[in-house]
Amino acid sequence: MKTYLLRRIALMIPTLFGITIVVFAAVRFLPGDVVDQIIGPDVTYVNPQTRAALERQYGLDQPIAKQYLWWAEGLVHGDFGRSIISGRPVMQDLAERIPVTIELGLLGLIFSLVIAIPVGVIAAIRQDGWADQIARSAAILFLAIPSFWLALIVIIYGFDWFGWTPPLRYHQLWESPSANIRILWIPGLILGAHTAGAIMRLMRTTMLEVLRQDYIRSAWSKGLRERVVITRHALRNAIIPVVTIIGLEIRGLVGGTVILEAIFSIPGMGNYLLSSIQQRDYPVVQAVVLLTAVIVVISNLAVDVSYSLIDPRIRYSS
Amino acid sequence: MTGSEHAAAIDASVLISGRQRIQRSRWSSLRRFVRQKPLGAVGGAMIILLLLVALLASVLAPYGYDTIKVSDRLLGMSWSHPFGTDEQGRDIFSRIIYGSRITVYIGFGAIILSTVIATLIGMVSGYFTGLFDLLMQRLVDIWLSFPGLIFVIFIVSIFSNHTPILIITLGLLYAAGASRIIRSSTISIKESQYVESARAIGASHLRILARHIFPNVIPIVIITASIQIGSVILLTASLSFLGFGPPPPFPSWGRMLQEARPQMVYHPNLAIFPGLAIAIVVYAFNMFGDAIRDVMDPRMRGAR
Repeated sequence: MKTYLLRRIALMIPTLFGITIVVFAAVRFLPGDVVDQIIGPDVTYVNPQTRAALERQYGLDQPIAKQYLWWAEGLVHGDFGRSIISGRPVMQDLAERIPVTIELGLLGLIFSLVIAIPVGVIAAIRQDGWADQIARSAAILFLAIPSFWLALIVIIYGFDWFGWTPPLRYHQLWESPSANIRILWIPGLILGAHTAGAIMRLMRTTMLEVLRQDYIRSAWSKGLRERVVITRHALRNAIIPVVTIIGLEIRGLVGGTVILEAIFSIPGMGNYLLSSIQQRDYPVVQAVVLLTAVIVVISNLAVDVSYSLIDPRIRYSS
Repeated sequence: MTGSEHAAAIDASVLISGRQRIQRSRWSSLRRFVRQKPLGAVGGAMIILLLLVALLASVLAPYGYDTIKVSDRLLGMSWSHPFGTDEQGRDIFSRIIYGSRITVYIGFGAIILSTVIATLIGMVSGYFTGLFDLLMQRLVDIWLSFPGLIFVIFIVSIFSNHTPILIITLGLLYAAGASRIIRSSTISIKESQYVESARAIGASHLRILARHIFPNVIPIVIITASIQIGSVILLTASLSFLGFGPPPPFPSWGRMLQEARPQMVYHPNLAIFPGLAIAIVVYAFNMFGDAIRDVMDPRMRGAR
């Protein structure tokens, strides 16, 4: 297990390195140089001395490799540079936004698992029954309905249906947990809907495959109760491919937080990203894109580790 | 072995029978498809309808997509405006019809590009393995670490939101995932006896790739593309919704939803119809893709 974990972490290093290169390089394609961005599009003439001073200040007179190394060194210390608009360190602004996005993403994941796994299992046990038909149709609908549309519908009809209106003021989890959950549960549920559809379908399919296997028949013929056969014997094997799809869905969940944050005015990283793009505040944009990729990489590590915890065969073969 | 490879590993015997199925007479297999997979056939018919609507938009739409008539703003549903009008008095029904063009253009464009790149990378990477494969897979890892939506927003904000840039970005994004799947099936095909025989009689790598590997990965390529396209369309709509889609005035369904926001509480028809259009199209592609997968991949038969 220890060697597996070490190998897996070693593989992360080139990926993280590559992510920083992509983010660093992409921003160089912006029209004009960094100085133009700092000055803004309204100023047409800049005194060459001012320009040179700014270039020195931001290290732009150095070779590009050196600039990258400086930037990367800062990242290691948690220094993402300063926002062009606010002048504050990017990390300071992000510190209270990152937990919000992570919380929203986790809520989406938890909702999708809590809904999809039991429903998928029940649909498989009652194959072709009415519960199965309903579950399958719901899963297909969840996969096709855009989350932002669902969100708009909830805003239009939410009050009439269940007395819910989008909050005017955001409350952090640590300030007021109940107020915070009241705000985030609907966006979390909507965020999780698509993932729930994907997991539900896969859960049902793999459960059906597993239920047809010999060892399940043996378990039945030993006279075990249905609960034990399903949860201890079948589910443990059927859930392995489901863990895989969770890994694949994480990217979508992280991306989805941007849309839901924008619609429900949740002050997370996604909203910050959108406003920073509008203001062409590229140090912030860079930091957010980088951090979301790192979140995906770390989540995938977590998924792979849990994968090997559920299935000992993976641990030993690699 | 990573998770995605695990999920994608499909053995060579499956591919061979997939190929035999394709070679049967076209009409009889189409009839069988409709009988066995009614939902898939409905999806297919809806896709054809979408293509026709996109092609004939200027004939079908009762109004122009940017015909502004201030006196007709925010009308409800009526015979002359089936879905009502928007804030500027433009006919929503016509705008939805024209919006299908963007959907088709970007959806198919990105998937075709993604498929071509993914097939090349996946086959070469899986066939040669070694250092090239190792480096290529690390590149794919990097690519797969960026959340799709955030990555496209980032690229579009740097370059521009013109349609070709969107197609290229989305194509590259989806190519990474698809290349993994094609790579793992190439690896399993490579181990088969006919590839070994071809190598024994001295066939070049190029010939083996083109004549022996390529025809056998085609089913996997088709399955992957048909399953991804619904997701491409959904992502494109999300981009338009956030303002990073193709520029106005040409309508896209995602942007129509964004434009509906200030008025939608009192005029829900502004928000309902464009969203319904997206959902129906994605549903059609998903159903069709599922059916294609079931028909081409015998492992899934009976599992539905």
